[in-house]
Amino acid sequence: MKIVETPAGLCANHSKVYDKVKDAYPLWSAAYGSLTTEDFLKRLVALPETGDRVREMAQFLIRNPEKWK
Amino acid sequence: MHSKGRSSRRSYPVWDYHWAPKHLVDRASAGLARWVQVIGSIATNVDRYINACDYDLEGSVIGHTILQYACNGAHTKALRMKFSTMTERELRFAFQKLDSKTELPLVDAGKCRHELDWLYGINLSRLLTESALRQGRGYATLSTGRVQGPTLGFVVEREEEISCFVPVPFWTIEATIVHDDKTYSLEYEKDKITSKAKAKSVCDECKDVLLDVKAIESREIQQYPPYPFDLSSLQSEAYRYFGYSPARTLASAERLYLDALISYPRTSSQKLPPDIGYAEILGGIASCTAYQRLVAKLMTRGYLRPNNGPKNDPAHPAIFPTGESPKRPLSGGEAKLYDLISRRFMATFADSSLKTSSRIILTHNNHRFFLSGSRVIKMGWIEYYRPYTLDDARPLPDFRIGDRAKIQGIKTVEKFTQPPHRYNPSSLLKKMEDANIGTKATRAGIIDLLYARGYVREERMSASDLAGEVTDTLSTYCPLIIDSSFTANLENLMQGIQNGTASRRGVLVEALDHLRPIMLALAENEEEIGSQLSDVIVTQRAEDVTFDTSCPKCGLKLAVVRSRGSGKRFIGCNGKWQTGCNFTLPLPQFGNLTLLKRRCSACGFQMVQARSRGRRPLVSCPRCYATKAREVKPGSSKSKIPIQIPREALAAT
Repeated sequence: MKIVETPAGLCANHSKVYDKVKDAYPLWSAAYGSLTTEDFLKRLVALPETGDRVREMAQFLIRNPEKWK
Repeated sequence: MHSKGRSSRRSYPVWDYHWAPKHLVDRASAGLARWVQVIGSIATNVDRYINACDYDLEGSVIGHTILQYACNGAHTKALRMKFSTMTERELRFAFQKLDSKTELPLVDAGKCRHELDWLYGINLSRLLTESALRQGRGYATLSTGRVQGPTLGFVVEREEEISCFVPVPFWTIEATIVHDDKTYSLEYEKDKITSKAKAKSVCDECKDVLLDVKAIESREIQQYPPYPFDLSSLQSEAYRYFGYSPARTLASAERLYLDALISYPRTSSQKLPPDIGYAEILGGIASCTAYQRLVAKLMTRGYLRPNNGPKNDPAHPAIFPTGESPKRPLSGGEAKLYDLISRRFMATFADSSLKTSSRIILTHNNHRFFLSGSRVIKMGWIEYYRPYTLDDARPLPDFRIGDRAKIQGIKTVEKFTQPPHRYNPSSLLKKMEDANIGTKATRAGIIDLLYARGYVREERMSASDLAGEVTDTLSTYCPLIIDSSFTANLENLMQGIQNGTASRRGVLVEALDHLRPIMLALAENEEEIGSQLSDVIVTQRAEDVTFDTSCPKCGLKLAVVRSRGSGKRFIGCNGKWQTGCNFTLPLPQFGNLTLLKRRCSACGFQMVQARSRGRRPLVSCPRCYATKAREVKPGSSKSKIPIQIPREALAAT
C-alpha cells in the first residue's frame, strides 16, 4: 500500500480536495473582483454544483479557519 | 463449470474445475435432468444431428454442449444451420445449406470466456463476500469479475470526479432584438465571461444600442442517412426515445426475433447485405398502413442501397424487419421497438437530408453578437425516420448587410461550471463498448447486476459507498482487475481463439498466471479487507432502509420494515418501540427497492424505486400511492391495492 504524506489532520482524499479548493479561490476572487475566503467557502457550501467532498471540506474550513494556510 | 474435489461453495481460491452437466453437480438444478432425458430420447435413432442454436458464441456453446451431453457425443458429427431470421423462407434455405465444417474455434472461444469469467468471478467474489462475512456482522453478496470490476470502476471514477468538483463562476450575456414583431435571442461572441466586471461593462456598453448587420454567413449541411441498427445503437436509441433500459430493449427485441418480425438482434454489424432482399422486406412492411406511403416513395427511386456503417459482424447482418406481419397483437414496448426498427430500415435507404445553417453577425463597436438559425431544404431520410429525429429548425429574420436592429433587452447571467454527467444505463453500455469489455449479449446484464448488488442507485447512476469501498479494495490490492485495458486485452485474446491465432489453453494459462498472485495478495490481507467492507455494509444496510423524510406523526425516522407474518415490506416508524407510533405506508412488493434522493413534487415525500430485471424501474411516492389507495375502496373491481400492499400497512395509514 502506498503511504502518502498529507497536511495534518486530513486523509489523502480530503487532502486532494483541499488543494482543489485552494486552487479555485484565486479564480473566484478574480471573477468577483474581491472575495473573502469566508464568503467563498459559504458560497461553495450553498451551490448545488459543489461536490459532496468539496462541500465537506468547505464546511470544515469555515469551522476551522486556521487550517486555511 | 464445477470445481473439482470436495471444496465447499464458500472456499477459495479455486483452480481445479471441469465442465459438467449442471444437473449432475448442482442439487438445485436436478430438474434439468428431465430436459436432458427428453432431448436424449428424441435424439436416439436419428440419421443426422443439426445444431440450429443462435449462430454466435453463446449459441454455439449451448448447441455443442447439448449435443455432447444429451445426444451421446453427437457434437463431433453434427451439422450447423446458420440463419439470422426466423422466417420460413430463410429457415428452409438454411436447412438446405447445412455447414459440415467444424466450429470448434468458436466453441473454444465461448468456453474460454465461460472459464475466465468463472475463475475471476468465483474467486474474487467469494473472497470479498467471505472476508466480510467472517467479521460476523451479517451476510451480503459482494461480487466482482473480469467485466463487472472495470464497469463498476467507470461509475466510481465518475462519482469521484463529481464528488471532488469545485464549481467556478462565469457570466453569459443574454440579449434580444425585435424584428417584424418577433423576438430573437442573440448570442454574444464569448459564450463565457470569467469576470463579473467585464460582463457588466459589456451590458452597459450595449444597452439600447443599434446593432449593425455586418455579415451574413450561410452554409449547407448534408446529413447522411443513419446506419442500420446494431444492438448497441438500437439500445441507445430506445433509451433516448422511450427510456427503455438496455436489458429491456434486448428482451423485447428477442421476442420480436422469435416472432420472426426482426432479424437476430445480438449483432454488432451495421451492414445490410443485398441477399436479405431489400425490396421484398419493404413490400412486406408496406402492409402496415403507417409505412405504405413511405415504402411507395422509396420504391420509386429505382435502386435500393443502404447506408451501411463501418461495424461488421461475420455471423449476422444489422438488425432489420423481416417484412412478416405480426401474428399476435404486439405489446406497447414491442410495438414501439418494431416501429423504430422499421423506420430506421426505411431511412437507411433514403437520400441525405440538406439543411442550411445561417449566422447573422451584428456588431456595436468591438462587440459582436450572433443570430443563428437553420432550416431544412430537403427532408431526405428525416421523412422516413420521424418522429425519431430532433427538429432543430430555427427561422431567422430577413436581414441584409447594413440593416440595423435595436437591442431590446440585455442582461448578464451568473452561471457556474458544471460537474460531469453521471452515467445512465445507455451511456454506460456505450462506454463498455468503447472500452471493448463484455459482449453485446452480456453488457446489459452486467449493468443490471450493479443495481442488484447495491453498487449503484437511481437512473442517473450514482455509486454507493459500498461500490466505492469494493473498488478501493480492488484498486489497492489488485488494480489490474478494475483496469479496463486488461479486460480488453483478454477479449482480444479470445477473439484470437476464434480466428485461430491463439489457443484456449494458452489464454487460460496466461490468465491464471495473472490471477494467482492477485489472489495470494488478497488472501494475505483478508482480515483487513473484510473489516473495511463490513463497516460499509453495515452502514449502507441501515442507509438503504432509512428514509430522510421523518415520520409526520412523531418526527422520528421512517424505515423499510418487513412483516414477520406475511413477509411483505412496508414503511414503518422507528418510534414504534419508543412512542408506540403506528404510522405506516405501503411499498411495491416486487423488485429491488431503492430509496431515491428525489422528492415527490405533490407531497414532498421521498420517492422510491422498484427495479426488476429487464423492466423499466417503477418510481413512485408511497404517500401519494396510499392516498389514492384509500380513495379507491379496497376489494372493489377498480382497486389495484390488495395484491401489492401488505394489509398491515394499509390498516394503519
